[in-house]
Amino acid sequence: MIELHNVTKKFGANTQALLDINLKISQGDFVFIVGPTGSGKTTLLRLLTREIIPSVGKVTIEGEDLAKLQGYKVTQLRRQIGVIFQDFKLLIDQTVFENVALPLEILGLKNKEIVQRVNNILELVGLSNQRNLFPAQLSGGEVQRTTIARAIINDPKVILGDEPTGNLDPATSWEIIKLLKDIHKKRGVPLIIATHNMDIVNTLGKRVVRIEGGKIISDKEVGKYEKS
Amino acid sequence: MGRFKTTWKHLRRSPYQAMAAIFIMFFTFFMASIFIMLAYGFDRTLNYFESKPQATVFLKDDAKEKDILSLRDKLNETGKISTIKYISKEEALKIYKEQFKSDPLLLEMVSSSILPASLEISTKDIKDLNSVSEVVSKEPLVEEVVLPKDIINDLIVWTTSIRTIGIALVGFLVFESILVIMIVIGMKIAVRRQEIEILRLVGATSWYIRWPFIFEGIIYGLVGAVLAWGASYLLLIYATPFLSTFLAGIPLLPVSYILMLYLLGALCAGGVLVGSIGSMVSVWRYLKN
Repeated sequence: MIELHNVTKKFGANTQALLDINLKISQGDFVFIVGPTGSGKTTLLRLLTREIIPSVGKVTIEGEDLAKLQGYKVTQLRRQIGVIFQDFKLLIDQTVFENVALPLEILGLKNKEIVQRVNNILELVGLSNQRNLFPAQLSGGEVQRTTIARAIINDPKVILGDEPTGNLDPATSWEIIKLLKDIHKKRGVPLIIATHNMDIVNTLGKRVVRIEGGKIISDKEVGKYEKS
Repeated sequence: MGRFKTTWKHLRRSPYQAMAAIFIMFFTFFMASIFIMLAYGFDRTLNYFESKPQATVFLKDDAKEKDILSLRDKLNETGKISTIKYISKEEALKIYKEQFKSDPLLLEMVSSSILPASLEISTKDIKDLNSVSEVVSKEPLVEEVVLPKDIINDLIVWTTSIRTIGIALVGFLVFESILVIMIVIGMKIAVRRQEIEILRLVGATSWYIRWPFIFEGIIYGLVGAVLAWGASYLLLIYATPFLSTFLAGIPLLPVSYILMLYLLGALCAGGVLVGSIGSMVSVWRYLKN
């Protein structure tokens, strides 16, 4: 479903973020991309949302070369990818409900349908009582659950998480990971999580792709993340 | 619906910027409205004089009524005259009093002795007016012949000046308004960089992001234009009694409300155009993708 063929990404002449990456992610995969800060995890995710395009090589989703997408096709791609950001990227002046409803409003759905779908998702992530609060009034875990709700409201074909537990305490991190695991189980879409949280990766026993210095140094179906 | 809501939110959040933008739009369209009304007024006055084949022959103070009447008969005999009307000093005073009845100061200062007697001559054919007036001006008891040509020439100079000044001033103000809208919308785009980035990442099209900013510019233009129309209409209503005396006989006032509705339409169209140009330039400049 998602394939990276010999992907290299350079920023400027001297900074090489990714080097000769080959990776295949199939429907239903749950993949952890692990590695220390600066190893290239976020760059890899940004390639998948086409925020950036590879310097060399090709990134495809369902056979479509992302570098060749222009204008509206990029928008359409992003509508099919739910992203959970480490820094949340919520609109601070909009309520939980409005933030989660945003992707549906962008699609131009009818109000009635938006309300129904948002209410369902908020119930799923356990934020029904917080629907009218603003991000500043929420706890860290609630904020992250809001971004998860927004990421999945569209029924995306792929869910990406960029350090979704990066700013959370261990207990809340577990809450979030359990929620993501449930969503993955229910929806069966590929879930790709970039993280350096060893505890979570090692406990879950999922596929682990380890990146260091921009290169994949291991890719195991049931992997562990240990200090190198 | 979401986009109108976003526009409304943008307006509510920065009322001072919105006020600055609306004020400059108001000023621009107020001036435009005043100049349009002036140009229209002068145009109508010009038409009135152009379609009126009438010369006014002012007579010397010492002219005797007997001589005047014989001049009248002489002119009638040429066969070119359609009407000729003698207005004595007393009648002139009566007309004057009627015109300025609302202004006692002007009435006090005038008596029949300082107003000249006159003959109002209309020819059957407007082309004969010049030759007739040439003959009349040579008569010893005639002080001056005022032809519509003179008034028309004066009016043409005025009308042209008003049009030129109006176009230049309003053109300058329109340019300034576009700049102000560009700056205000540009600032708003800059303040909302992060929000715009988020919208892009969750799959908003470029136009979904751009429209609220363009709507905002259009709203500034529209509100400014409507306020300007209202203010200039009030000014016109207020000035109508005074102007009516001043422009007695010229079929100009009161201005019909249908005409004012046309003006409203034109100003609104102008407002939408100026607002959308300003905001589109900003959007094009700062939200290229």
